[in-house]
Amino acid sequence: MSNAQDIFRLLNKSAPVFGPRLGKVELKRPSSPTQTIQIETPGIITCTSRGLVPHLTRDHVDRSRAIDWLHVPFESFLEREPPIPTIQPGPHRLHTFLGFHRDRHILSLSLRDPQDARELPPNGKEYINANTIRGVRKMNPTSWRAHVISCNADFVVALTDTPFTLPPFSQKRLTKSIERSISWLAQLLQPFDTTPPPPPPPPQATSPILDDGQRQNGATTENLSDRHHPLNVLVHMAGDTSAPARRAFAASLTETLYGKEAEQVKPLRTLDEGVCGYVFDLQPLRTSLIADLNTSTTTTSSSNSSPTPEPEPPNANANVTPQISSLMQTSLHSLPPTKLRIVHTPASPHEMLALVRDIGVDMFDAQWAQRAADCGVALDFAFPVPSSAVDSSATDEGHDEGPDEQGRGRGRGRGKTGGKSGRNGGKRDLGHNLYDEVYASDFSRFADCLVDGASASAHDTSSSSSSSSSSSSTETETVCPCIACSPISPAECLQHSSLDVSESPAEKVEVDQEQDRFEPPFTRAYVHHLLHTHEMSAHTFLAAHNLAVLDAFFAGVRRTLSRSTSISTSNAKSNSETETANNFAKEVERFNATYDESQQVFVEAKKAWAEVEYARGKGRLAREKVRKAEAESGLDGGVVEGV
Amino acid sequence: MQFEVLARCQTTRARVCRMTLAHGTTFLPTFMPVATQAAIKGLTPQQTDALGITLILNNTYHLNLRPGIKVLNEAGGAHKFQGWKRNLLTDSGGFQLVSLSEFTKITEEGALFASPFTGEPTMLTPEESIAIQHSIGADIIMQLDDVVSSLTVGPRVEEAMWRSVRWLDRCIAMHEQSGRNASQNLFAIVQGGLDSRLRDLCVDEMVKRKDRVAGYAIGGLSGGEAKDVFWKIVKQCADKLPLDRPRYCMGIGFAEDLLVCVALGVDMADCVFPTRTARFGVALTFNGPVNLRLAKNALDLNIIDDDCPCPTCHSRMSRAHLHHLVTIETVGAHAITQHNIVFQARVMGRARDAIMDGKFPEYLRSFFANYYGNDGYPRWCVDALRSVGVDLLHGVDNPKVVDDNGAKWDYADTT
Ligand SMILES: [Zn+2]
Ligand SMILES: [Zn+2]
Repeated sequence: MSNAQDIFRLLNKSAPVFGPRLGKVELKRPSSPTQTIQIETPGIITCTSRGLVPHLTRDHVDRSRAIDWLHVPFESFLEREPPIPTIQPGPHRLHTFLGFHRDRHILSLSLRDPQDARELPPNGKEYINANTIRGVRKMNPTSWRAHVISCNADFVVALTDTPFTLPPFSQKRLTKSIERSISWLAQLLQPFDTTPPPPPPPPQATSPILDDGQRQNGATTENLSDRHHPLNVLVHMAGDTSAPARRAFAASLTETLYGKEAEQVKPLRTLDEGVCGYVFDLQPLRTSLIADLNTSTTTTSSSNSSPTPEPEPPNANANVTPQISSLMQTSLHSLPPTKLRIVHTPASPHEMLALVRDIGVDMFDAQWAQRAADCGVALDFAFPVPSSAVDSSATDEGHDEGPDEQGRGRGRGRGKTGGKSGRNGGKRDLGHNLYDEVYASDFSRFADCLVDGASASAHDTSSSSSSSSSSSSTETETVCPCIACSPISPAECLQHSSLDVSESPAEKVEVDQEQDRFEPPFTRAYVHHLLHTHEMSAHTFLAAHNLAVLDAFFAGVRRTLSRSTSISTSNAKSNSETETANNFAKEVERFNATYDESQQVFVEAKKAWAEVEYARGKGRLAREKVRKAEAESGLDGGVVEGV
Repeated sequence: MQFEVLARCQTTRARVCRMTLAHGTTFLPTFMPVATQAAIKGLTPQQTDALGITLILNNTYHLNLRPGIKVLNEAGGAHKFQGWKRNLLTDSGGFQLVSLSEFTKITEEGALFASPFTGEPTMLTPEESIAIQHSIGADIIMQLDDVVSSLTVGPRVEEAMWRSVRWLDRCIAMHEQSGRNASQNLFAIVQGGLDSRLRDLCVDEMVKRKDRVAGYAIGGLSGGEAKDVFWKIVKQCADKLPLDRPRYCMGIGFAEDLLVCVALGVDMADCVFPTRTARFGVALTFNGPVNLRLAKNALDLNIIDDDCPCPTCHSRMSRAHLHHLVTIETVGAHAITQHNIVFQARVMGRARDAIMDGKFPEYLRSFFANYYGNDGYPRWCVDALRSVGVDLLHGVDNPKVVDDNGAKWDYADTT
């Protein structure tokens, strides 16, 4: 079952090496009704921190339609020995431990958190350094292999020697990085029967280490003859900013192995045969590219360098997408185009679109959108650009129908016209900095370009006869299904006494249909209030919403790509390929012309966040006293109050 | 308000009531989770609803500062503002004025304080408090009272008690002229410190106004006074309050306090404790609190409570995973908050069932045996429950009774 070709399929087999493409990730799940999990690409990977989606409890994760593939950095679990997910009983330890559902959630596992590009001590010949809150931990390829086998995630990223010392890196360092990464990949790809036994399971663990899941995954002799490894291995494309290094790394993947090396990964003929996808961590790469930029700037203008130390390195927010794109092409050039291409930590939707267009990236992590939730930004953008976003003020009145009917729509916030007009030549912000005072009495839903559930279902029932509604175009009818825009009153509430039971059935009668249970959307004014009062729910709403917006954005990308494909006829195939790419490129240009890529809104939001933190700090002394008193009475000092 | 006593315990003063307000029915006795700033810490209203919670509390003082009355009016009240469709109670703002602002001065007109925004002197009168609570629109609103610390002694206590009575009259007048009697219900707050003579006088005065108030709160307690004094004051007040009005003991949240108060005749209580302690990593269980920060939980793959229906336990989130999260990721706090709110609701729900079934004394005995069995019964609980005819130690071999306040912690080093 786990042939690379089966796991990932390009919908158009004749897609060019570089260019926008549609595909499907498909994993067998005998327990699910459909027997499989399918994820359409291009799409998003939800980031996790300490094993879960920040700000979202398990019930919220279950309700999110945007969350189907999650990436789990393993390093936080190294704080304890043994790492706790590895001793979880049951066949699917990581899913079980973290509460994700096998029939809905795909998990990928890497050692390091791709978001974390902080400086670390140099890696060694036989280990890399991982970051935990209890300090740096060393991880060698043997332990890593034991851990990933034990965790049984769906995808696992081989250890890679990315230096987290200060760039730039010497050629010697890059050569070492490539040699180590290749050797560690080879160790991960060793066939199962030559594996040294993994660490003994603790008393609780009732199931054998090599359980059902693995055997299904193909650790049998017949499947091994497929020349595919039982683990779904992803490899990070090493080489930093050096094109020759990247070429060398790719060449090491595809070169036919001989002798001892071939013996090590038998029956694979090349390492690439055991790999099902290529990963690019942009965070460290961006750090290197910006360091390069700064080196070249200082050499040209070293005379007028500023006398005071800079708080932030120059060019910190420079747009390096073209360089990234070119380096990625260098890496992928000689590799089979049919395998998954995964990008971690893209800087913006603009960068994601560029990498879909110029490379054909299949999956992006959602770190950018999730980070926006941390600093109080509610995302509000769509692809293709909705017509409402272009002529901003003209279509405003139509948006607030739902809330207005309920007396909640009197807001006159700037948000309705989409952020500060005139910014970067009148471009729209990608979202709303809800710290901003203009939202204090803005009772509209988070996004202008996505409808809330209550309005949509009201619209459905009221105007089912006159389907061509004049006030709103079809594009604006995309519903944001998140818990903030489309809250659903629970179908069932817990009952704590027999009296509670007797009261419930009457209410239950009308609540069969989900769309009938939509409640009015949460408003910008409410989240503005929550942010300024340090209520954590603010980030819960924003995290769920921002993931939904990014998910809808990629649905739009896929729609654009499939729309142009479906129009074309089969005998004009090559023509239609170009047409698709051209159409898509045109929409990308429209997107770039509409939305502000400099993301000034984030800068403002982070500043507001810091100010609220500071104001709060003033009252901190009094709280410290309370905290101390509680510590003395037995309660512990640490407490989660904000982000 | 529709208020009906459904059952009374044959032994203690406990009772089960149905209280129907503009936003639905709440069965009493109940515990009200606190949503100080119009949000239960970290939860969405739909999540709170799903936990089976039908009545929560907002703080008037805080909502008046943020988002402010103008925004609340524009939103159409606090229910709509926060998306909460069940019952809501607001306090008067007086308690926070006194506890959060050291410059507050009480005059006959009202409470004079420095505005936290401008520093300017600002007056909160009883009329103003009611007006603010009208804007918030809670189903139950509280009179402005003259709060003194429960440790205060001397003539100030009596002065505050009489002023609270006078302020109740002003609140009633303001409330009645607003025409909101049908949708919002005004509660009086019994004051009088730890002085039983003053408490008697205050209850007498306030009961005289029974036809114009919907319920009674017992205020001015839970401020560090001895537990032995606390329960006696609660009992004294509850004994004298009218049967056909709900009784609300303010600021009570430990399970043992709740059950003692219920046995003494209290119907409602509120406290930030269960949600606050969750953020410190403490999960409440019928066997006592569990401090998930302790190293002993690091590799414990059991859930908090096998019988708990909360989303955290239902999804089988392990103590080890919670240990990995608490005080670092907000989700750890949210997950324990969900559990703790459900724990409080279960303590009270089981009390309702036991009272209905005529088995409340048995429930008290088994609850305290599980909760305190190993560490010793707090003497004040034993005494308080004996005063209403329940002997916790009945049938217990070699009962251990301890003299401290009984608040139970699960503490040790957290490394
Ligand atoms: Zn949304
Ligand atoms: Zn629970």
